[in-house]
Amino acid sequence: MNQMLDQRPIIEISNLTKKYGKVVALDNLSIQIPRGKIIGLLGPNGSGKTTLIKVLANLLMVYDGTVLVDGKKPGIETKKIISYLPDCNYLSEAWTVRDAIEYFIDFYDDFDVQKAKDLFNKLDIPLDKKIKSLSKGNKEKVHLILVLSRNAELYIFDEPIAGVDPAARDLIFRLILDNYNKSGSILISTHLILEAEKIMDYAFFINRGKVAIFDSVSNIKAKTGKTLDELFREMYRYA
Amino acid sequence: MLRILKHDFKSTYKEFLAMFAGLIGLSILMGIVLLIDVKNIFSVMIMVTLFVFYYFAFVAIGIMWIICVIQSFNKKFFTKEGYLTFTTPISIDSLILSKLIVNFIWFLLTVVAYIISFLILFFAATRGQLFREMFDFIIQIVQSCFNYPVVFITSIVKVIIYVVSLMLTLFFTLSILNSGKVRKGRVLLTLLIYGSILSVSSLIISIISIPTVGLAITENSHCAITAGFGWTMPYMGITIPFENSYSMGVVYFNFVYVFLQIGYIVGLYFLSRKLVVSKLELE
Repeated sequence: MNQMLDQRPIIEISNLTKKYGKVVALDNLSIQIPRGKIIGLLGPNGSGKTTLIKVLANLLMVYDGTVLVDGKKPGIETKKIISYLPDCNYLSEAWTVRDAIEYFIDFYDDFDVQKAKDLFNKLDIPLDKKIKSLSKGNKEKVHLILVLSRNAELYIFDEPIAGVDPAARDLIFRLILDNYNKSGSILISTHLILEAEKIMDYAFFINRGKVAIFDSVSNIKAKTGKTLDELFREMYRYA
Repeated sequence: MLRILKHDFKSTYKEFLAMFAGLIGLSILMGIVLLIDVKNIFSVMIMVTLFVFYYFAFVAIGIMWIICVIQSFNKKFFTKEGYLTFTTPISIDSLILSKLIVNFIWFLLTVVAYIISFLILFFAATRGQLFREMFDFIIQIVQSCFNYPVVFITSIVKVIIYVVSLMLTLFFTLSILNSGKVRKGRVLLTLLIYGSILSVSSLIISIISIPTVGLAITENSHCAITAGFGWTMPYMGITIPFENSYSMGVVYFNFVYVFLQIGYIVGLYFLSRKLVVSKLELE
């Protein structure tokens, strides 16, 4: 029974439509995302990536269609198993790193405080420093460490490497790969496909709110004879 | 719920404690000046300056409380911090209620700070001579609360209703501005707009509650249920009878007015909640 449950997709979406006034951000999108894999969510600006992520994270609560995360509608129960990193700094600037840790301890049962402290120590980030006094790079590391210190079922990263230098990108990928809960899944949205390609099991190309391609990276490469980056440039040349 | 209360307190206590310390510190300073004999123009000037400061501090703390209410909702709900707030596994109702409770407690503590400040000034102004009388007066007030429990309880209910409706009007104004994608100057705009919403709603409630059923104080200092027609003063909730209803007396607790105010609170709560759920626009 447990094995059957574990084989169930982590995300099941059918006929998802989200409109902002007359603009259709997600257009009757249906997809099933397997458990325990790293999925790259790829698409140009305005393709619907962030809208889809916001629906999954329950930041957008009104839409048409069905969305299930681990078999449940987005809400309090799914927030307990999703570890989400948005494309901005969301911690209070007035907090110290220790305050942020305390918040995560209080609200997320799957938060591994020792893992977080070890990572802060390893990356030389003092716990008593205020978030506002940290450098841009260190702020991003604080967010990433907190999100990765949860033993979540689903990690959602929205552009985690946008705006950081190549060395920092490598560090971010290394942090993600070394520290995520291996039985969980990762949905990672990015433009920087060349760098992200190395860590993806599946690629989910989204275009104008619809699924353009969803398959394993190896299958896509075998079928098209192209890397994901080449395919992306070809698909979205006029997007 | 307790955990979110703890974090809401943690994120506001520094500002409030600094304000209270400032007000009480200023009162002590003024008290010291009052204790010194004013004999020359220099000491008069110091005293006048301190009084001006005290007056501004007094008013500023009231305004600061309103700004803190706005900020507590704005920062946690409608700025980047909203990404954390709304992905934390807590219900929206708990998030809103926690902020209402925390801000209400700060309101009570602000009142306590005002009272302490007054006591310090009174003590200094009377050089401690009338302190005994003042203490007796406070005891009398406490005793009258026990002697007239209905008046005491209904007065507390009125204060709670007023403060909650004020806080929810602020939250509602913010929710409207957020759903209209107003990002810049949202706090200032809320401060400018909420008064109009509160005044118009209070006026409408006062008009609807002209047919009055309420509690009035009788000649022998008891309270009795009475009915008639009257004008309820917005915010204070005291009903002055029209000429043809003089027999009902001044109604200090108008059931119709209070019932409508509760309706306003409930309506505003669900409207604001709906705006957050359906039109959340994080920065």
